[in-house]
Amino acid sequence: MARTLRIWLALAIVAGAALFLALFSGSLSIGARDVAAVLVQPDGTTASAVVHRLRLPRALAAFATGGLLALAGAVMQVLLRNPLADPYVLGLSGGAAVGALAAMLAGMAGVLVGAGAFGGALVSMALVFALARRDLAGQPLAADADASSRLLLTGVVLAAGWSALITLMLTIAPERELRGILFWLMGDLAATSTHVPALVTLAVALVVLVPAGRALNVMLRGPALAHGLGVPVAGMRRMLFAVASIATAVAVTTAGTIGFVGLIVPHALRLAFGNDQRMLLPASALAGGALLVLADTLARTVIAPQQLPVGAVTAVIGVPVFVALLLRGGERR
Amino acid sequence: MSAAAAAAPGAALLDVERLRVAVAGRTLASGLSFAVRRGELWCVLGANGAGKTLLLHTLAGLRPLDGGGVKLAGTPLARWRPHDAARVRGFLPQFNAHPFPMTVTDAVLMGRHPHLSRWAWEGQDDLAHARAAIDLVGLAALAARDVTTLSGGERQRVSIATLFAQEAPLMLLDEPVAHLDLRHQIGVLDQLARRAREGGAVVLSIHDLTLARGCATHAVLLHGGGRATAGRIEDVMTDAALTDAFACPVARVDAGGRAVYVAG
Repeated sequence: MARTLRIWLALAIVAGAALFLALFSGSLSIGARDVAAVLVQPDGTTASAVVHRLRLPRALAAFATGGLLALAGAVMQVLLRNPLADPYVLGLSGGAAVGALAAMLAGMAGVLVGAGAFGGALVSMALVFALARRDLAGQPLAADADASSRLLLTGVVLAAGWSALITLMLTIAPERELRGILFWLMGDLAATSTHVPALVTLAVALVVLVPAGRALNVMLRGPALAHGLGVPVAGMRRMLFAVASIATAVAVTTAGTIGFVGLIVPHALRLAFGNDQRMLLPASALAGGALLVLADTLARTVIAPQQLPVGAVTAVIGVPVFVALLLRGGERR
Repeated sequence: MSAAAAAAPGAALLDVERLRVAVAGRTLASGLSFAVRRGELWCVLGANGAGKTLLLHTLAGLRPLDGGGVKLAGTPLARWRPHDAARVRGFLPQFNAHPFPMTVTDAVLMGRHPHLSRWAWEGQDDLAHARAAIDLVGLAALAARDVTTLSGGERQRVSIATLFAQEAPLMLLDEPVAHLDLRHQIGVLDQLARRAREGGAVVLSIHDLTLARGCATHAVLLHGGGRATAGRIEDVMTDAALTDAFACPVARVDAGGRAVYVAG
């Protein structure tokens, strides 16, 4: 318990530092002290406007999106009992991409693209639930290995279907739309219009998940054993699927399909601090948020004034970190 | 409903009435009635595919009833809240995978889940229960090891220790000794028999008839095709019934006062 609090505190400090770094990085040079000053007391200066209207909303959007993705990844890993699951494994990102692209191709922008993405994600979620109803909620629970792998395969097949649709849409898309579509597909925070829904969703998801932490630990031992220990497995599975799906849908709506955060953050935390979901879920939210804030700050400063899609940065950071963690984890055994 | 309110005094821990077990149109048992009382150790015997696992899953509430009724401590299974039921009956599944790393102690501590309220963390008392359970299955030296690095039999003992830490009076176990070496087969069965003698009750499936006869007070014999007999061990485990159930000649041999079953 005390150790868990120490881990959360350390990660909260890292997240705070990342947010602060995001606030004073950028083309307009604002000193750390000035950032702190205008943050506490906004004034009419350009510096204040840049911090409050541009950098703070974007940093908060990055934090919330990263937190949601890491949390959804951790939950999917429990739901599927597979340490390599990620938020997109059940095809949600594909549905969201198809929705967003359809909106873009119809000439829409901003909030409407977000609405398209959210709608697509929900359609994908409904499809998985309808197709894998038996595996998510049904009895008997006994054939557990089957249920998880069938659920996983349902997601893989759906993702393949969405991917085909995306290819089709890219083929018919007019030339001038392609850059926007590419950035959306890679994941990009420049077009984010609001950070409030993502922050609220993150808070609600944590409130729902954290009390279930010990039951989630038990579920990692398999549905039959979890049932024996008094966990209402079918209801928990439905809840986990719904929370992870909505978290992912909101994240994708906010910033497109940013990869690796949802896979790497929970995995890295698990290797570093152990696998107690009560510690891991809030820690994932903090670390995922911090990682995406840093990645987005890099994305908009490293070759400024050009901006990189943040998904490209998370991939560049994520792949080597993941490999290193896997190798280190292997040696320890 | 609390466990205390649900557990009718004097009732059998498990009451099985005219139970039907069926899967995919095949009836594996029908009209099966028996009651498991404190102090009893029941063996579920039968050939592969005879329905031992399905029967145990049905008794554990893992699958809906195909017919008949099952009462846990006097209350129908469906009326129990899962968290409360888990303080009365524990269940060991046949296959126990550990896809995620965790220490043996943390894994066994999960057995305390039904005893803890939503926000509670495991305390010293729970740790003491877990350590005692780990000792009982002979894993004390491996308590800090990662379960994913253990052998199959050691992992099975981790799951058994989790069940012991649960401290449920009724324990249902699906082939608990299948992956264990001889010493630990006997050790685990001795522990289960001791729990029964001390006022608990055990129902376990097992293939080794000699071990079954050595530890059990009662047995359910699944003949396949819907026929099943239940009762005191000496009434159920007759040579004729076993020979019929396993479709293979089985004979009991007396070896210095111990019953040994020989097949073929």
